[in-house]
Amino acid sequence: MSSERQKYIRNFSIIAHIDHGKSTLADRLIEKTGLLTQREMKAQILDNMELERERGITIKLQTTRLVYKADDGHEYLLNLIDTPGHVDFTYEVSRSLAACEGAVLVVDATQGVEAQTLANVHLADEQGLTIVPVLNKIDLPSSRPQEVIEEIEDVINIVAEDAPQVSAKEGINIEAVLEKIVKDVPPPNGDEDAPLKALIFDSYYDSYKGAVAYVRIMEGRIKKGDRILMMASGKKFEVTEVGIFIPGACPMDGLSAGDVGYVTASIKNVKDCRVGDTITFADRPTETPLPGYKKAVPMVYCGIYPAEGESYDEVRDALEKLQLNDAALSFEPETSVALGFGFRCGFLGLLHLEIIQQRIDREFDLDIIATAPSVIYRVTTVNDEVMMIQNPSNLPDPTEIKLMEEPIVRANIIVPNEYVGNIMELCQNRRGDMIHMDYLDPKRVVLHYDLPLNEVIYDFFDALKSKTRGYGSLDYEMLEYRASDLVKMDILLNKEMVDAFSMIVHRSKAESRGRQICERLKDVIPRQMFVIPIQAAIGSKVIARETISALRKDVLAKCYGGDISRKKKLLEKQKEGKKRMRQMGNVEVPQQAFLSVLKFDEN
Amino acid sequence: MHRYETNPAIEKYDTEGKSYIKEENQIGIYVHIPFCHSKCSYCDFVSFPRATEATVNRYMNALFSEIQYWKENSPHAAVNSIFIGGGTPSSISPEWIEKLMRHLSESFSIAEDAEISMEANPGTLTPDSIESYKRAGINRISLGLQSTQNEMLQTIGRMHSYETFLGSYQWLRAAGIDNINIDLIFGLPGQDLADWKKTLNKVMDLSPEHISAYALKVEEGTPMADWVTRGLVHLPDEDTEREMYHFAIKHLAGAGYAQYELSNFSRPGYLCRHNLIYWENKPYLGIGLAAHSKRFGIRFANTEDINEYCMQIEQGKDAVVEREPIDTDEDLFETIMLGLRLNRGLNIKQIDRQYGIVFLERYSDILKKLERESLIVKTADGIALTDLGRDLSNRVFLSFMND
Repeated sequence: MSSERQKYIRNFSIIAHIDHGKSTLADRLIEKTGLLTQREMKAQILDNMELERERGITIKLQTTRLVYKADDGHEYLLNLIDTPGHVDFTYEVSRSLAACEGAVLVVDATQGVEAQTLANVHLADEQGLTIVPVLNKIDLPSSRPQEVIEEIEDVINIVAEDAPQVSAKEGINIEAVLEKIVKDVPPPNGDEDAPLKALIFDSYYDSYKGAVAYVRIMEGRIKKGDRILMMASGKKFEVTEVGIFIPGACPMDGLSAGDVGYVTASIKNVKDCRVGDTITFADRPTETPLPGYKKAVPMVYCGIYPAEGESYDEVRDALEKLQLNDAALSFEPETSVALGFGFRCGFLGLLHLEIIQQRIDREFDLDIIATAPSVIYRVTTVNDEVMMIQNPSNLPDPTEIKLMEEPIVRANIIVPNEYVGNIMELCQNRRGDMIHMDYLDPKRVVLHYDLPLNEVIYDFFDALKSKTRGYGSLDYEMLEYRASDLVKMDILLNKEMVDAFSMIVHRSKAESRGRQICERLKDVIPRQMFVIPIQAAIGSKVIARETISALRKDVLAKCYGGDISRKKKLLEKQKEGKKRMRQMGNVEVPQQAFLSVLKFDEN
Repeated sequence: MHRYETNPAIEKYDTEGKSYIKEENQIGIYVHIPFCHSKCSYCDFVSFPRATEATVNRYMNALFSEIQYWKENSPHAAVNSIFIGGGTPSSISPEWIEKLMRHLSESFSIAEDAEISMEANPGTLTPDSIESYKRAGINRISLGLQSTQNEMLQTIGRMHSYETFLGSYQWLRAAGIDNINIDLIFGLPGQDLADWKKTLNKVMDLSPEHISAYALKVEEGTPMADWVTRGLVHLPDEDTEREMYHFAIKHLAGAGYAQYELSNFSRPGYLCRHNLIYWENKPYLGIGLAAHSKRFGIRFANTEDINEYCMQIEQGKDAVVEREPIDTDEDLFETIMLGLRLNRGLNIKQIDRQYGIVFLERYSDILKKLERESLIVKTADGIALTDLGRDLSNRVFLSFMND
């Protein structure tokens, strides 16, 4: 039972497929609740990172409290907990949802249900949330609300006929959404007098306050001066501040069961403020902690190295600072023959990887080199030892390997039906297994495929977009490890193996990959004094070969009228170029060659 | 006196003084005439096509003032070679060349037997102008032919035809010019080995004293570079280009033209003395726009901006904008890099004496490696490039370069 206070609280998130208008709707809700004047509104208030605004997507969740006077005459406190809108951030979405009782599901009335719509609804269902469907972009001539309502009812199986039809962009019918939230989302409950039980659903590091925990109070109350215990880490702290977000931090006297807000306690180390942990009283603890979350498991890895002239320490600092706000980012030091000292970083997915790379560039102004993304393979040796391998050079000798497995994802791909053939062909090329296929409506199809993750990270999304003229959408989740015919492919330069070029590939893909790499290397390695064979090999078997012919000419013929300085400058430039080369056996290899093999750039 | 402070050559002379006097009792002089009728598509030298009479007038007078300036502000040295280059020195009125030579001989002591070269383009010469050059004291003409094929000449933006060239050549001979160089370029767009053979044969038939054969280098910012990037013209591939070079060396040797430098061939006794000054890393004074000098251990260069040049000189100053003092190590490197371009190679005893080093010890690892790679060979008095070394000379020079 909700208390009298709790009756007027609603905790909700907004979920949507990318570009269906989630952030714009959030802005309108903030505007309508009158906490801010129109003039104070920056466009898309919740997306406060520059990068997010540029890409039009929400990466880092934010939260804000709205005050709304409903038609019933009561004032309601609405806590809007924002969620990231992309396939990679499923984990963060589920964290936000755990702090809510309801979710507003935004569906683009011109596009209908998309892959991430389904994925997000699935997450909300798991948390037992009430789903409030909203049709957006109703102002566009191509909107088809009736069909989309039917689609939502058929595919998602929820009642949508009275869903508010809005245009977040034009500010049309926004009150209807607020009314729906008040009416349909259940108020929170939880005993305000019980021992404290609060869920940390996010955290960030503030250089003055220390770690700031975003909390949802499930039971009890918390105020400044309380002695608290982090149940998972066992660490104790004294609360220095509690408050709410409006959307900036606003200190309050206390928070009670049902509230969403923040807690600071001079926590120096962000690791002591772990997302998913339960906060309780040090002296009067609650009996059982909240279930918490699964730890975010990196699915995609890549090497990040300082580019020329950048320092290793600066890159490490940047990664550490990013990690404070992004628990899903992992990294550890790594050394590469080609690139020197750097880090092996783990990401939730490709977009996450790309965003981290760009944040390093923009927020820290560092030039980095990122290697091609890879996945983790599971190797069982003949001695039944199980190894998780992502660096091919750590792979045991083939004679010692009993079993190799690779991560498989379950992908849901939604495409207009004229492109189904293209996509089936694409998935087949990417070693996919079709599980089944559903018609969403007469024109659109959902394809369910099991795909090896290493095929998905290799250019899959781009291929999907180009084969569907941009209409295809994709969502995937980790399924399991499966046995696979994987091989280590080596690249030999002048008959000598170059570690940094080795990779793990599926046997059926080895030859084409090998050929591609040999061709690229041939283009970027300058001719040298002798003929250089470039070979791709599996074990001792050569599967592809190119040859760099010997250098024939390296000479400055002209006299330049006594301008010897010019001749010297040309030589010095050449010398600089040579310095940047790495000696591999007796072959000089420019860094560009490593990048052309390692870099995440398929063209 | 205060002028001495701004004079790079004198600065060095004053501080380190006497030891250089001996070295510099002989210099070469280069004079730059930055005018031509039209700019060739591969040319990136400082030159101005179709300059007005007033510009030429102002420039030439500045040139004469610069000569006067160096007369007053640099120590005396005998001049054993003069090279008037460009641009196209023959594109301005021959009277200017006569005046120029008068100024030079009034200001410097030019050796009796000095080599006095001038560059000329076919089509700009007449029997009268040749007489004028002779009167001025010019005793060697370098003719820019580049190719004997007229379409090729058109492609690269030359104003003359092969037939015009022949006329000019015959007038030079008739006037008694007995030291003629013909400049050729190979590796031109669309050129094949057969074309190049034809050019070489025709030129050899004329029996000039000297032939320069330069590999085309496409310089950034030239129309040629643009055409190549846009795929409008196609250069012969590296293998063909080298074949042309090797063919030239062999073919010219057979006709009595010995290669003495990467791009230069001559009959016995007709090596270009002026260019030898460069390759032997000896002192020279450059006069005029963008001219480079090496004197008293300093390399320095005049501005490339014609207005700035004239203004500086008209105000009684020099026009030097770059100066690079060359320390002993750098000088040694230059001696190696330049000397190895000559077929006779480096004289090691001389280097040891000049720099107080033991060359063979100092560079023993490098020499071993280069020998192993067949880039250099030992000669009676030192080392020289091999045929392969001439193709890959930059690699050889780089191995001697300090880090």
